Amino acid sequence: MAEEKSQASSSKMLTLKASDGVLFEVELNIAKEMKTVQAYIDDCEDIETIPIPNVLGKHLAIVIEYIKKTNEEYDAEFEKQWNMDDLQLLLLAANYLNISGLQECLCKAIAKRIENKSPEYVRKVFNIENDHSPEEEAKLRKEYKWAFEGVDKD
Amino acid sequence: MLREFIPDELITEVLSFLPVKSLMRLKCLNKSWKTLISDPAFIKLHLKRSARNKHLALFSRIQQTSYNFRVAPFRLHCLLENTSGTITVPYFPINKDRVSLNVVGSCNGLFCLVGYYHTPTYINYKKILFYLWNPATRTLSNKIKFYCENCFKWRVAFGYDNSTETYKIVVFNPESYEVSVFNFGGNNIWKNIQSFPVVLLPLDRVLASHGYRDVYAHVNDSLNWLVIREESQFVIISLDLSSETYRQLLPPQGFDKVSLVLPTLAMLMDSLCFCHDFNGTNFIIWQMKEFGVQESWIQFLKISYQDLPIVYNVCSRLPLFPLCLSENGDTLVLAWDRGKQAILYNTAEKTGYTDNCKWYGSKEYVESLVSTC
Repeated sequence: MAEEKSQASSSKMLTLKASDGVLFEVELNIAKEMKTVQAYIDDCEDIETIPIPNVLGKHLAIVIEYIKKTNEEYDAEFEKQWNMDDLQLLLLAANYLNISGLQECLCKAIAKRIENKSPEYVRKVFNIENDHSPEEEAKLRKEYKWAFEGVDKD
Repeated sequence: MLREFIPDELITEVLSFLPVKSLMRLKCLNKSWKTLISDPAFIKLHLKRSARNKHLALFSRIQQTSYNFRVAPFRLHCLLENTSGTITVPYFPINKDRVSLNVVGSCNGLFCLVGYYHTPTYINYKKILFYLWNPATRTLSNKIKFYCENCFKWRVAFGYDNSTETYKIVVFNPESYEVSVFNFGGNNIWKNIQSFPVVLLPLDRVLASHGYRDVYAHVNDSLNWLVIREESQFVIISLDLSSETYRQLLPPQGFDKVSLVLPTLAMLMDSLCFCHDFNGTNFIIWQMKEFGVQESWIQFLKISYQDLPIVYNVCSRLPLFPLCLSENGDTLVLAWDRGKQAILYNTAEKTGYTDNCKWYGSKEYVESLVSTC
């Protein structure tokens, strides 16, 4: 009897609804990896459909797949498939859904992609304005001239 | 271009995974990034990440007669995968004071350097210089002068006290047992502390005659030296960096035979280790699982000299020095022959191979942004 019960709870399905209305049926143990979802379930036990207002269907699909497949090998290859915009959106999703392993994996991936890039390139990636005065910037560039050696051309 | 903005705490997390060179460059990005990258809290976070990527820093003289040296950090996993061809650009500390430089120790990405006025043109026995050097950020602290009678006799050590977050240089005179401590970022003066507990012959004097000076183990917040007391008993003098007081520890009970080769101390896996020759056939490493608890010594590793890729003869009286252990515990890096050779020993397969680099010393190193001011 106890066995049946545990089997039933592990195969219990939940529906997650992405921001663009796309629905995903996931097993409870997969959904629980998203601590935000876990908190939702803890608050409202009988819920069947959980709204995920900040994440598009396409990214939620990737996140769910990550949770199912994550291991050292998978993680190493995972980030290679996505462009920089998707990586950032996935990071926002992982942060909102509170999935620490995925969040770290994505931070490392983004860091790897900007590691050898110029400040101009990185500004564009994160959509950040330069508020250094021309004199300040020139002074910094001179001081850290050695750090600019070998940087990828934009 | 992305329409969503990444919040600051996520940007901080991304940046914490970048190498130091990239971060120095990105100070130019904007004012808040410049502030963030210099912020002590960020520097701590970055160090935590960086500490997962251990390096081995190897030192060599630039020329035979030169009093300058260079440091090449090897990523530990490169050494392990035998991809030693990928040597990173070596770092050179700038030697404005024209002293003969040596490395005292390494901690959190900083090297403590000692400079002796012992050059072909000038010898000064009464003054030593110390510096803190961060090769990754390419910064050198102001020089710290230490005045004494016959400075070449004094022993030097470097450590970090977590409780006050201070880097400390410790010097002691093995004849008078006077001890002096310099706190960086404190009031920046030398302070005499309690003398070294009276002992017979500090082992390092014997080791020094074989080319090893200043052997000590920096374990957590303590500096530890191996000495011999009366009746040839080995004892470990441990200086607590926070209270600046000493305690005496004993080597493991299983050790009682003094061999031709002197035992040494090492720091592995954040623990104090006692290493010695056994019967001229094996090298044994003991680990003090719980610092200060005599009963917590366990035999960690027993390496047969036959499994090492060198011809090891105890008659040479040259000790093996464990330098560091890989994260997964599979590989132990040992220095031998005054550090001229690094031996990589696989603990699981019990085999070793050697990297024939002509270096004279090596220390564990992590890349960091820690300031030298």
